Amino acid sequence: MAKTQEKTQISPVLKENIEHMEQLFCVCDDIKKKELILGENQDVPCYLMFIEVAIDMGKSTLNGLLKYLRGLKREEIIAALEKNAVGVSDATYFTTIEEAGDGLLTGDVILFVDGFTKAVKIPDGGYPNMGISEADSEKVIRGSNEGFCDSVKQNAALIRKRIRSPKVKVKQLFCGSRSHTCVYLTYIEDLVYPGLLEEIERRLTDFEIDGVLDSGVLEQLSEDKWYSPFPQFQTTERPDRAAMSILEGRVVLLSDNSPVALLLPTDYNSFVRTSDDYYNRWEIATFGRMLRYVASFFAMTLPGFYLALTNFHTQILPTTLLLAFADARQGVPFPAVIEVIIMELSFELLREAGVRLPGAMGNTIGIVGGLIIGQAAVEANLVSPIVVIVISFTALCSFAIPNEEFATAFRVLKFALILLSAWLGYFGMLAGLLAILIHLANLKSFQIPYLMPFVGADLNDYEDERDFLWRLPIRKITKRPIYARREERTKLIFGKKAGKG
Amino acid sequence: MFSQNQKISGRQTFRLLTYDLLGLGTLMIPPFLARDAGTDGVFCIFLGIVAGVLYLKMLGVVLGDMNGSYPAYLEEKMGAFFGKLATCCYGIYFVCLAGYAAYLFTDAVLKHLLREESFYLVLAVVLALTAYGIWSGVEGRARVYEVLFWILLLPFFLILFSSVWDVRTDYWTPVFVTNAAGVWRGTYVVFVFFSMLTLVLFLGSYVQKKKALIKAGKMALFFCGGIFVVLYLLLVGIFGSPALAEMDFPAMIMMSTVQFTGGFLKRTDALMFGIWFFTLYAFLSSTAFYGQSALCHAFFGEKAAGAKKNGCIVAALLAAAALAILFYRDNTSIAVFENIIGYVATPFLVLIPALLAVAVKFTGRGAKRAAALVMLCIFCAPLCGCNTAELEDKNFPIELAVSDIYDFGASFTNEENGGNKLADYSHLKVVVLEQDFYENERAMTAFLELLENKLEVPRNTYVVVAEDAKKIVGLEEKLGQSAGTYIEEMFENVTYIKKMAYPTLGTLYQEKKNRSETLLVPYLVVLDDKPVVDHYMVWKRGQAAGEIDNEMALLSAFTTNEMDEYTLALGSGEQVRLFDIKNEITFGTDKKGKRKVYVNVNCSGEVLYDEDLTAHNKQRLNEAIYSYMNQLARTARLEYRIDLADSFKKLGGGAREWYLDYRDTPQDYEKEVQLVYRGEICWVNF
Repeated sequence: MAKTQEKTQISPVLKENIEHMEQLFCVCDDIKKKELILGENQDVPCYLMFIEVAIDMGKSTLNGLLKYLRGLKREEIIAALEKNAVGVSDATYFTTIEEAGDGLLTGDVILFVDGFTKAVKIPDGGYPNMGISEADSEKVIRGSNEGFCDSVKQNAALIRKRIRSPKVKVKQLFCGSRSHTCVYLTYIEDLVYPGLLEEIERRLTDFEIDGVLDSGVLEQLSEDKWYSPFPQFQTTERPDRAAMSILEGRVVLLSDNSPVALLLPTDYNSFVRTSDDYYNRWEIATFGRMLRYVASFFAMTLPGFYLALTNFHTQILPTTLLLAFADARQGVPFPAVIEVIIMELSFELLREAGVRLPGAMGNTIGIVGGLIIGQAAVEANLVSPIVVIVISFTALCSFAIPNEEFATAFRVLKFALILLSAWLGYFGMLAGLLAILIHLANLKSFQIPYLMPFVGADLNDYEDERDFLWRLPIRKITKRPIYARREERTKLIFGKKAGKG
Repeated sequence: MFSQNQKISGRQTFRLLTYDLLGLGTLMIPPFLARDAGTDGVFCIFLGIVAGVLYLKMLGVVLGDMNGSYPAYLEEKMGAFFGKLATCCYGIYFVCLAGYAAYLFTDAVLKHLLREESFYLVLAVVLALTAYGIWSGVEGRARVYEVLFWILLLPFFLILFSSVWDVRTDYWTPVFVTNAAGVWRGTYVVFVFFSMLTLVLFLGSYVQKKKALIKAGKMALFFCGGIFVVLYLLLVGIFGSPALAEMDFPAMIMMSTVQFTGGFLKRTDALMFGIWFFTLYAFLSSTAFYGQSALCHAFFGEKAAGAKKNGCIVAALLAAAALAILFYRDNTSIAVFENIIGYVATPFLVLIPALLAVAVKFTGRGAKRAAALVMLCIFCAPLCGCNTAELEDKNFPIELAVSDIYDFGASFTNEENGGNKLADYSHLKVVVLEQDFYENERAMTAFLELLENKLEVPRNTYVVVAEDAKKIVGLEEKLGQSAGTYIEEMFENVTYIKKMAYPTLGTLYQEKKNRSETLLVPYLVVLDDKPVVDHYMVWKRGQAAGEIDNEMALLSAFTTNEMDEYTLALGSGEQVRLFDIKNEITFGTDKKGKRKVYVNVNCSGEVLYDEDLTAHNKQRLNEAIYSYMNQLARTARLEYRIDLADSFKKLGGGAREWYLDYRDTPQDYEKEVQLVYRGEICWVNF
């Protein structure tokens, strides 16, 4: 890993600074280095550095600044720079070469002036990014369509746009000894639980890695149980979801170059909730929520359950249905378990292919795979139609889970349950479910039981039970969830009390 | 960070204790009680609950005085040696219970889910899950049960509710006939299960508030007690107490007979096994956990950790596995174990806290010595004295023709019905018995015993008789569907007789032991290439008892409210339809002191095909109907020795004195007691 280096102070002699910077950024042809002369008498040499595409010279504030400095005398230039009176509000001053190098790498312009012992960072457009676009996942029918983008600053601004309070704090950290990825911890000062922020910082600084290219890396390096298929950090691409989490007292971790924010801590229930659960009426929200819970269960168990029923416990099914199942399997060359596994793998293959291919082709793959290959496989007697139905329904259930990482856990565990059910029938399935349940019961996200509020609801005086399997009317959810500090859990009050508040 | 969640809450404790009590209790209490106290068993449950409350009160005294863990408290109160000895005994007790639970769990899985799987494999899976549960600690387990609580109990209650329609309330009587010893034994059995509440002492160091512990214990006691009462009443009402006494896991058998309206699930027993899977697991993991923890404390002290603790867990599980295997290989050891639990372990569980409670009241060195002395006496006291076949490789027989027991045995082992496929009898709908076979008592006994042990054969399979059973079964081609389905639909959809009136394999099994009912088995003949009921064969006291014609059978079904509507042609030419039938049976004597069974007819009536209703009067019609019924009942009694009201089973509740007179001579009852029809019919077209 990178060793702590001695820092080189910026010299009043420009040539020395140029030498240091050239040395630091040798063989960096993408970085533009320009020597200029400033001053009324053209006697003040200066040195500019910037990353080519990060600066739009036509629109840059740099032009104005240079024009201004060109009209001053040498002493006036130094004095203006000393007093930060160069007309750029967000100029940053560095005293060492290394800091100036880091400043350059944020995508801004670095200016060295002969006789001035600091480097000035002049902000500009920064690195190119996609800009704000619609979130690809977590679609909602009602609510904002804005999604996070790759720029951590823009993402933080999107949150601030929603919570315009000075109590929203953004703490900057850098992760990755080589990538120097900027990470923002965003939270509301008086809501965040005491000790939570320190714990998050501790975990983020508990490791040293060369590069962090996405928030997913931080997630995997900071979670308690790395072997668990269940994510212990929640992810979102939606600023409104992140803002909602901050209002709950959670901390949002934004990582540069990643449109995915991490929400900490989290629990099972949070993964099943969607933003529009709170924008829609409570009856609809409750119905949707229950449907998603059922879907998450079937996404994991349905194929296994089918195997257990047809191979072991046929007495459960009505006779006509059973005989229809048996008829459908006539002539299929594979045992039912192989048939189910083949179909499941085919589906996963289609999914993977659909994701990797460009948008329009991805849709085509869905049609080709789902309709044409499925139909052909049934007609060729490779699989029975009932298995196609079971697998399709399972897939549908997994799509209904709002969070992709969370849905993946169920998709993976489904294979374990298929094997257990094929081996030991319903007993195997129950044993598998029990093992998963024990695992979930022991899982915690920053000391919050993962199964909150199904377990440990007493920790928040059973308030969280107003918003789990069902979502009570908004007016009944007057308290924040367990994440917020205890004395700040009231979030809604009516009438006279509200006036007092 | 956040709130303290290493300790469990009151709600978690309640659910944990409920699961611990429920699993074994629902499976074992009903047959034990039926054996000891019969229909009075329900009172034993109430007395058991009272005993449980008193026990909890005593535990509360001990708990109030306890500061740390229970083993540490034992040492503090009894001295190091006796304290450790008592802890060790608790450890052995819990480990033995774990072994017993592991055996029952595995046995239940093998009987109800995986008939051909290896005992050792299932046991290994069960113990692996237990080990995982133990390593996850008390909080982990408590959370599992907290999540599962309503998920499992709601379907359980739904099933209990659905099974209400199968209950015959006559089976609940007579009451107060069991002697004091029987009631005492029954109460003690219930208390033995409730004595598991001793776990609250061990939970003391794991809960957030000690006060909540006793409250949770009481709630669990009342909750489980309530379930035991309801379940016992249902089981007695469905099977009868003699049959119940002979059953293994009757609650699970009940699940196989309950059907939901709409018939989407043919049988729910496999699905509902989930309840016992989790509750038995709860019991097993609790006992194994406290067993290893007590032994660990006794041998390595309170703060044992790491290899020592893990070693204790492994040792406890191995011991439990060894015991389970012993019970599996030697069934006689189960009875020995149950006796040890009843006569040694349960008194131990009561005496130790009792002793400590006394010590709390009378503290001091003397009390400590006294406690040690009593402990010594207690310890010296004993010295004085993988998968079957693919779906398409299976055959699902819908009907079964049985002409002789050997032929049946062969067909049952696939030779006739299965062919090159494995026969799966889980969808059997009708058993057609050949008349000669049906009348052969030995053959029928062997047949029923064989089938009763085959749990995959549904208990609600209808039983019919025919002269040539194979001919009935062979009608499939002409009927366009299997004969079994045709007959089932005929019984359930077409006839006016309710489906509960038709005997099933289950009712035949029960009647073999209950011997209190008269069953009428339909006799089928072929008419126009279709099976039709020609008359009925009588089944009494576990054997064939002649036959009666349709007319008598219909009157019998009318009398016992097993008909939707009853149409009869009177001698005077009128045809009447009786419906909305809610008859009552009472017992009394006539003026001469002769015993009579009165059928108080309560129904609506309608005269059919008669334009001039004014020509009739209600009085005359009533007289004609009752005369017809009384005459038919008299013929049935004198010529066929049949009680059309099937009233013998009601004697316990309706005429206690008669019950005592006839309980050993039911044949005399049928011969001597006359059936009298009376009452008002509510005519709709007058």
